Amino acid sequence: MADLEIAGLTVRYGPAVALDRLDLSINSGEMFVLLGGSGSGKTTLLRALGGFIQPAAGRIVLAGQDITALPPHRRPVNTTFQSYALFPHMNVEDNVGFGLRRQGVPRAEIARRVSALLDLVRLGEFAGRRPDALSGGQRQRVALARALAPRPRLLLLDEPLSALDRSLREQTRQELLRVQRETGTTFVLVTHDQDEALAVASRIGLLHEGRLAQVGTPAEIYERPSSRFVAAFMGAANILPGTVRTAAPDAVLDLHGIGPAQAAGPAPAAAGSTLHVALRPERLRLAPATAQHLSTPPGTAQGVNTAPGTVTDSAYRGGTIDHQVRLHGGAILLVSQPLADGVSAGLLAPGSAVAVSWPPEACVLLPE
Amino acid sequence: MKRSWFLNTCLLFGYAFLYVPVLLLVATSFNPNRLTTVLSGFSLRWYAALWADDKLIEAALLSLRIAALSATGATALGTLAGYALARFGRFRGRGAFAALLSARLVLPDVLVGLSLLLLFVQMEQAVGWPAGRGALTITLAHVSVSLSYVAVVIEARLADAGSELEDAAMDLGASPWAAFALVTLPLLGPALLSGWLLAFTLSLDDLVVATFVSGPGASTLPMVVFSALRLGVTPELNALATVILAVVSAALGGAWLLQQKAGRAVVPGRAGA
Repeated sequence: MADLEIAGLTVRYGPAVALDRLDLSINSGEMFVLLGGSGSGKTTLLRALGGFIQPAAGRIVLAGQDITALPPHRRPVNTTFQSYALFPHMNVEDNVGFGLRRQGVPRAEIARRVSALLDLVRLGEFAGRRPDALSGGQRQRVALARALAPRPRLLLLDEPLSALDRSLREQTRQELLRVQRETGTTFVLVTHDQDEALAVASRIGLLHEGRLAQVGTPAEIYERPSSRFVAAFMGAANILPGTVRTAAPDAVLDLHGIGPAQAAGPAPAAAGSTLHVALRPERLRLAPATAQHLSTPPGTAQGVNTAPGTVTDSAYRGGTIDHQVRLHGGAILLVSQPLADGVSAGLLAPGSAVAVSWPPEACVLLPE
Repeated sequence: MKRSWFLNTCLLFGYAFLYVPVLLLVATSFNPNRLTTVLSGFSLRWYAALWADDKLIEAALLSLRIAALSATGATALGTLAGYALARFGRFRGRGAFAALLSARLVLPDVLVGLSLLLLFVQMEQAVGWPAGRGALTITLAHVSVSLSYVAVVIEARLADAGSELEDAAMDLGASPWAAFALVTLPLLGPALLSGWLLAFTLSLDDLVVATFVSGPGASTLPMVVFSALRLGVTPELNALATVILAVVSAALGGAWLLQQKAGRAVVPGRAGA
């Protein structure tokens, strides 16, 4: 069931359009991630949902109620701010109870609910502390408890993990997911980090220049990007132009600088048209070049989806080794090899002759 | 660390220039001799004379009352002005508004005093209020003078703190007024205090504007001192100046301590990391 319906939402800052006729529906109890680079409109959308920005056009309907014109304090929506925005002159307990006092909840019930929330975020023993006596992760959890206290219909999280260091980020991410499951509240989380989005989202909305480039589950967005922009944003390093030779049932393409390639599934364009193909670095395989590879001129068939080339650079990345390979056809591919078999795959000296191959499913066809 | 003799000398001369006159004044106030140039022992004679001088005491009390009232009025109005300037966002003519506010800081006192006198006279003719000139008109004039100082202090503080805390309060169900009262005002505490003290000392110090807008029977301390000076310096005035010095130092020292204490817990910018 759709809990939040956004229809035709447009926000302008003077002549600049920050959100352009945006439509989106978010389900009850979802962990929806708004992903986008800076200037994509993700923060604008969050502020419009919170009521801090009045849209020029469009509607926001939450649980059947049109909240477009409501000011922030009348919306059943709460926010955790990027800088947490904890009230420095109140202790943790009073921060968390702030929204409840505004609602006129009886004193005894406030005390009960605040202590339950502090237990939920595991800060029970910090109730009397001032925010400046807490670590970054603890402040984040206070902000979460404070925003959950009035039992919002919708919780907005503005870059909740960006201010935390790496080890704390993973832990806090787990906490967020646990709290979301336990409370069943609809979460809308804003981030610029695609790894974070993939890790927490039930669905992702990828924003680009004030519009939604794609909405889908993490797997859909990552494996079936709907455009070149989405593929590039989600970390596809190899995006190559090509021409469709055969459109159906399984597309056959002529990749510029590589040669013929077999894809799985039909092409989104007719034979003869051009499109782009993403080859994910981790789906490519690297093998020492054989005599046959070396003798065939570029552009001719030599087994399915295989191309000879030369390693120009190898970088050790911890879990993987990233090789840069210049194909004989002229294209440059990034090939990411797992280190599962120890270091046996190893670093390759620049100039090593190799053959790059990939399964048909690794070809992601991107409509223009 | 050893500092160069040159720096030490600079420091010595700078502070001597600032404080030798003040120290001399304090020393002279304890000198029993009527001739201030002849030092002849230690005495509280002039303090006793001061205590017995009803006219001076009365003027001092009037000054304190006017200073407290006008500082309070200026702080209330200046806070609203500073808040509006810091939070109104961008609008056409914002720069002009800000410039108009701070321009009052540099307008000559003579001009301000004269214009206020004209205003009060016109108002009395038009609406019958304020009736005559005296403590009330001096207080109003001082509010008008110090308002800009307070507004500038408050605006700077608010611009520094950003509006995220107010957003958070409204997000949690506080109306804009409640957000202002529950979050903005408590955080402004130190700035309010320093704004009030600034307005207080400005009022206590003012001679020119008060002279313009005062009437018979309402003489502030600076006015009494200034008129007494024309009859010649009496050691009693030295004693009076020493008392004022002590009171002002104590007030400023107290305010500084308060601000040190509050500043650490209250400045949100420092809450990070």
